[in-house]
Amino acid sequence: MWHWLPSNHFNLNKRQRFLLSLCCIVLLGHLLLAMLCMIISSGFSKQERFVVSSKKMASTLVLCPLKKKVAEQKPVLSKGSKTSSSKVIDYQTYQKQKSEQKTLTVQQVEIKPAAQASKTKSESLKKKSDTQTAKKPTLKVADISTKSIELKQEEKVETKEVEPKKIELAKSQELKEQKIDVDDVEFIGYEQLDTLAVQHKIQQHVQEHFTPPVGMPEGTCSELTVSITGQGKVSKAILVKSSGSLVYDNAARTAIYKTVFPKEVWNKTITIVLGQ
Amino acid sequence: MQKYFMYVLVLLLGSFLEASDFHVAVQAKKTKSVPIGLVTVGKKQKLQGIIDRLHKDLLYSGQCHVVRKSIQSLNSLSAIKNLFSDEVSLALFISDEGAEVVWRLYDLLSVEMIAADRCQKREYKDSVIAHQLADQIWPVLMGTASSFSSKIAYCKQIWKKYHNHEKPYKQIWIADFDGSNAQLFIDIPTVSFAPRWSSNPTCPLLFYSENTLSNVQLVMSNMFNKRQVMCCFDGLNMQPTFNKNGKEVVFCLSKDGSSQLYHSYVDNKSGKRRSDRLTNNSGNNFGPCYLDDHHVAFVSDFATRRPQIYIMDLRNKNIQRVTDGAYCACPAYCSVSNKLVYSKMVDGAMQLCEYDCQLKKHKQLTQGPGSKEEPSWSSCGNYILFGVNEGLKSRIAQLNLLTGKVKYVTPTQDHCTYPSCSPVYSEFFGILN
Repeated sequence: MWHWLPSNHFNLNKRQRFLLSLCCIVLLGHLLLAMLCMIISSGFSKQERFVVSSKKMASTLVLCPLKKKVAEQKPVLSKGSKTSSSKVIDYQTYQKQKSEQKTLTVQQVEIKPAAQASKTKSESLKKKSDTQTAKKPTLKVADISTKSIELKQEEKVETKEVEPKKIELAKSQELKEQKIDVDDVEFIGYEQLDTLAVQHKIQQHVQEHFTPPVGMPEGTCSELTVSITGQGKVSKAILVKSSGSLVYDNAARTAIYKTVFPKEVWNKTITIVLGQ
Repeated sequence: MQKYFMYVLVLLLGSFLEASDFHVAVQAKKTKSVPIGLVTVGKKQKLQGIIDRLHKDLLYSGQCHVVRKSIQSLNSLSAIKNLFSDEVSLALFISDEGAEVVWRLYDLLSVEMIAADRCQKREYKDSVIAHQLADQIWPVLMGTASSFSSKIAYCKQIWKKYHNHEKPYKQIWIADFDGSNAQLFIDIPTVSFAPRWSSNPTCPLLFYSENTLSNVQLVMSNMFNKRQVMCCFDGLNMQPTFNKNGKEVVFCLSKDGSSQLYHSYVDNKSGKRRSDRLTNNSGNNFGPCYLDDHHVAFVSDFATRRPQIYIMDLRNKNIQRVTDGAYCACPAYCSVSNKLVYSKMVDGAMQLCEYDCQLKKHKQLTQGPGSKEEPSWSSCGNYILFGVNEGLKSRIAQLNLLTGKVKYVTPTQDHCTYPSCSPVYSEFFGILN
């Protein structure tokens, strides 16, 4: 093995050569293993590429303090999404909100059957009274009057019970509207939160200069790989994925060249997707 | 061996670097019309007419605005770069090279030529050459199809004295895609209406209906105004629609009372042209338009008293109702977007609606006063031409689907109806030139 190695150059004996080759094999094996790990983990490394689409920015972000990263986000620009500042809350407040809303929904569910029950009761009573009237025409007036009074009383009691509940519901709904939409949340880790802040900065910087032509179809986007210098300026912008429109791509490129990037990405290469 | 180790190390480092990449998605907050440089190379006078028209064409959609310059020659790249301000990142250089007009598109950021092509002058008018140039340039610039070379045909009502009595006549006019350069095409002392273009790009023909004393006959005219009666049964003979290759036609005849659809095609077995009756009902069936070679959309009131749009499979004559409710008419199909546009009665006025044949969804496109009727798609699918009827006035308007803006293409004083967009023909002769 390794006969082709220039052994004369090192003046090694057979045993030493064998040891050297063994070491080389072990080293190579380790490197290959490391490479294999890298290739396998490349799938996971995509998760590390924290992608922020505008829609994601609009949703409420729940910070999970014990996790670095939570879930993979794809670089997809959703149709008709608009950029707005996102709200970041911690996991505990999210849980509180969720539990509050759960209780509210339970109450709603409870109230509904009660109301329905009252209706059904009244209907059944009415039916009963109808049947009774049909059967006993002589008792007709007295029976109906007493039962109808009872019914009215029952309904009154029920309405008295429901009304404060309704008010509470309305109040809580108002509060809920002020707070967060539990269904429209996204979980992020503490590392992601930092990245998010940087990305939001970049978004704002680029958006200032990005003015694509009017009337481009929805979903049009250009993807650029941007190399940023030590002063935050763009040294190179390569169009990775064209939008299919030269004018649009050029508008994207012009915007990138005009942008001064934040310190966090200086001397780095970033990928920017500019969408319609 | 050392080399291999180096390769391995480089690969590892590369993968590490890649993993640390940063992805950001940015959504456009504002849009604007993009500036495009338009440069005349050489003598200005030679290209004046072409450049003026090309300028208008590029402006038409509202997506671009043009900054014009002229230079003597295209010598150095530095001269190109310094020609415009930083705002302009793309420039078109047009030069006259004898029998051809050549255009070159330069990226001013990287100062390199992106695309170039030429257009034969032949004996074409400046406007025709400019439209051809625009049709070559637009897809490169915007990535969408264009229809600058297409024409529009429409009817114009005029009043003429006949035995000391003023009588209304309808003429057929042909204009450029934007309504400019309008020329009178059919001028006979009767009512000529409902023009429709042939679908064959090499053979531009115009079909229209003509009132006679006894019926409404279907007439075909070539671009030199040579006319021929195509169909002359009793009653109405009108509204032909052609399939893609132009060999099959569906049209309306009312020889048996109510208007029915007929299909004319060449029989593969006998090699002879045959005509089949497609509809056989007590209602009126009209406004046919081909979707693909096997499907035709049409209007019928046989099931409900209000006309509705149906799609018929020509292979088995099965029909499927597309619309519901209010009065719907005038379907027109766009193969680019796979959508059907039609007029629907909404709050007492006809409005344009579209039907997505794939998603099977309806969407109202227009609003406001005036009845929008007889829509016709431009061949690029970005514009819808239609007639707007407000009381006694009727004009032709064009809806830009990219910007949502409506432009009138005929003057206020003219009473114009029945617009029809032509496909982009490859030959420009007769009235097309």
